Amino acid sequence: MAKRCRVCNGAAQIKRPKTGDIMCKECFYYAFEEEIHHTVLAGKLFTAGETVAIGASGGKDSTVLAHVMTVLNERHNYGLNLILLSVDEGITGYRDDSLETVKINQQEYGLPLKIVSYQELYGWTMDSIVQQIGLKNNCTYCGVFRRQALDRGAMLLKVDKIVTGHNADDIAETVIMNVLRGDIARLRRCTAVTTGTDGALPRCKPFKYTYEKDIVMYAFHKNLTYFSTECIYSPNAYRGFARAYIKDLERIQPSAIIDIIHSGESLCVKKDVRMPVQSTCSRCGYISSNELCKACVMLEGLNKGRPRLGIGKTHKERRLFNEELARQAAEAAATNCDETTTTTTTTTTFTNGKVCCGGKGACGSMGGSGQAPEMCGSNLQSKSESDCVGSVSPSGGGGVAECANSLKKVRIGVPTAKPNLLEF
Amino acid sequence: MVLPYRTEVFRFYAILTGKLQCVKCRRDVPVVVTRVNDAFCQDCFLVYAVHKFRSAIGKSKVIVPKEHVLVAYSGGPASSALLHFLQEGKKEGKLRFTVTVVHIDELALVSVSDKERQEKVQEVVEIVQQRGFPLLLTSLECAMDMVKPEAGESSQAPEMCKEVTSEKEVDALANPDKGDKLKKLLDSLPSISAKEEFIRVLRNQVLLGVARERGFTKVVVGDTATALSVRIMTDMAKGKGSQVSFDTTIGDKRYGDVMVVRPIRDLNMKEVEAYNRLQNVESISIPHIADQWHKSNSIEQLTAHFIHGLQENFPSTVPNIVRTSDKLGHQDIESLPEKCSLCESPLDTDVGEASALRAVEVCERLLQKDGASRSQSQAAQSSDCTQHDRVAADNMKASLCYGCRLTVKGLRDVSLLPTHVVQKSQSRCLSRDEMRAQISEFLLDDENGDTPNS
Repeated sequence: MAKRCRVCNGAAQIKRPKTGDIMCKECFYYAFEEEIHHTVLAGKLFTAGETVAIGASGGKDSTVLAHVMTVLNERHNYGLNLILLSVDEGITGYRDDSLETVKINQQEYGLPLKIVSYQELYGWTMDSIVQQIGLKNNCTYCGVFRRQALDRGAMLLKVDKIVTGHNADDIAETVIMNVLRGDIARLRRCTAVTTGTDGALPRCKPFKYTYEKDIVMYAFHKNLTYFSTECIYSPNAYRGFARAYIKDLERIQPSAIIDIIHSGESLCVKKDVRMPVQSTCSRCGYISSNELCKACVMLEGLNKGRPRLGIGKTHKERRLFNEELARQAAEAAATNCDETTTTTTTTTTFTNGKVCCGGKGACGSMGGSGQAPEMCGSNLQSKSESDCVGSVSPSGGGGVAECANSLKKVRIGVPTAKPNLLEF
Repeated sequence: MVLPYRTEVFRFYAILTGKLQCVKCRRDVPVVVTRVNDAFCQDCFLVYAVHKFRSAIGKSKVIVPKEHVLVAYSGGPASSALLHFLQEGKKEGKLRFTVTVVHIDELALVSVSDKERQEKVQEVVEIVQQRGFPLLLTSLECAMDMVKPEAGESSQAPEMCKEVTSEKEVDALANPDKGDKLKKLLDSLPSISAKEEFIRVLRNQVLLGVARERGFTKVVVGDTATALSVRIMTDMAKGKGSQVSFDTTIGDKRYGDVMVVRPIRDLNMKEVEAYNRLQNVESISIPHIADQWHKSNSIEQLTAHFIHGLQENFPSTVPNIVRTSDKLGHQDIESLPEKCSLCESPLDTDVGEASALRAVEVCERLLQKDGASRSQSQAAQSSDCTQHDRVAADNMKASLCYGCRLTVKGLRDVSLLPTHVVQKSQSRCLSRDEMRAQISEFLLDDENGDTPNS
């Protein structure tokens, strides 16, 4: 028995993931596009005559975004000038493939394309960053750098707005992640359909209420080409937990994703909660809620071989860094120089590939943690400097020789070689 | 060999070799390790737990001296610990308010024989009498025809609860009619998540109903930090984000006349279990309909599984979530005129154009875009329900908050809902927006919607 489309009663080919309705392709396309159009109207996203940059990564969201924006721009006369803007993070085997897709998009829709890369903006590619920092906090780097990269590229092109392909699943994941991490400032901002209206270039999310599965369904039936692989560095991201939870939720109740977004929108922060104040970075002039923007802090950390400067408690890292620099200057002529270098060659990484805690400081009276960084979460103050555990900087030499500890090593190290262990 | 720090084996080893000491007295052998690696000896732990309980009540000043409060007891470990805290406080003369315990019997939903039901209730009675507090017994189905007593009028409605003065007098509050009504309603709710949410809301309504009938202004419940974190995430997943701040605060004032107090919200489940173990506190295991639900079909079970899993690897998860909810607030209660007819929380459906709620409505509207299908879909609907039913359903929907709308979605016959809910939905005042919508074509107004003076 053939199923009939819920709307037009013709032959149905699909069951819509968002609502479970049986529909034919044409009605689905119409519903899909018109819902996005409604989001644009309700959120007052655009005004006629604006130049809008489409953040294009070559993945399904940005490909469908380029397509739908072109369609709606024509159908409803938005009067927008659309440009494709792409960011090259320098991830071999992932980003260079997806950029090819963006070039195909450029030709299909006849839109101008601009590519900005981390290499030219910051002097670092994600591959080299991951070599420094490992696989745990690399997503932080990529995210912060990409945000700035998009803005800088957009400013070069002199656009009025940026649109990104963040879909309902992304926003729901962000809401859940911010609740789990206690990030109240982001929690309040993340459900807005347009962000960054004060000061920086505004960026909108027309796909805010569009389900990821709907996007895939649309792209599949319209034969839109896109590149679909997970970023090779992403499996350990914290967002993965939120994503798994949301996928399970969707299986039980498909409306859960929109419900989470509604919950996020209904949240109201208490008046006396301290919120970050927006100002500009003293070094690069970008917007920032601290004196230095996160990208500057991270870059400094990378360039000086202390990649964890941007992760965790910045002021603590900086204090340790300054102390260490002072000590280095004092020890510059010391004869122990050779021995310190030997100590550093006995670095250990653990069997799971992680390096030691990265100067988070003490592990208390045990004299060194000996466990992988994500477990070493204690906030106890160091008893003595030698208890402190440092990070291994694979960029090695450069005077920043730090020791890694395992329980065993410290016991050997502490009694005889106190001056050898570079103390921070 | 490097042992992972947080496992029990390591702790045992550390305690044995004297490396881990009680963090308070640093003298005695630790018996409990809470949070990541805070070890306590027995005495210090008990002091810690009791202190958490007493300071939660004391600092927040939610209960004033000489007040009569109602304490909800389910038989589970958390509420058993709560009763024990109260009993100890009373023994030491530090309890400044008087306590009456209420137990809600939910066995109507499970197929147990009357005799078994009687036995379970008997167990509850014994424990509460051991603690030395008066007991009120009620059942979940009593909420099906609750009527809020008008001020000054004598209530014609059946009593919500019975006092239990002696052990001999216990007869189960099984009321087969109401029980069947409840079961029929639950069977009509299409999804398990809807059922569990409905049961939870109904339980709350029963507590409020008993409190109002007997004149209590405070209801004390035994929500632990772990339970609260699961509650927060479930609320988020079910569209009840506006209620998160109410559901987790120590003094929940949303109902106006009755405040819900949560004094053990600073203790997590492990600490409560440790306390029960050390103090030999008994809890009763009562069969519940939720036992048959699984994380593959119940949102609450899925969320609990998720949080507990995260907590294993990231022990700061539960404190983080609870702390986040502490920072959340709500609009001024007085300025929110309408409450949901089902859960009595302020309505969260008065949102702007650019919102998830509108997006959902647009989605539904687009389905009826083509005229050809409309008559067909309407014809299909009319075979199931009359015009009257549809109006009733629309009224009901408008009187519910977003989360409760989800709960009753798919319920064909809204008259199956409890009496007080149906009544409230019928007699609600039209909001100004609805009034405006009705007369919009006749309003010669400017953008603000203000009518010009004639």
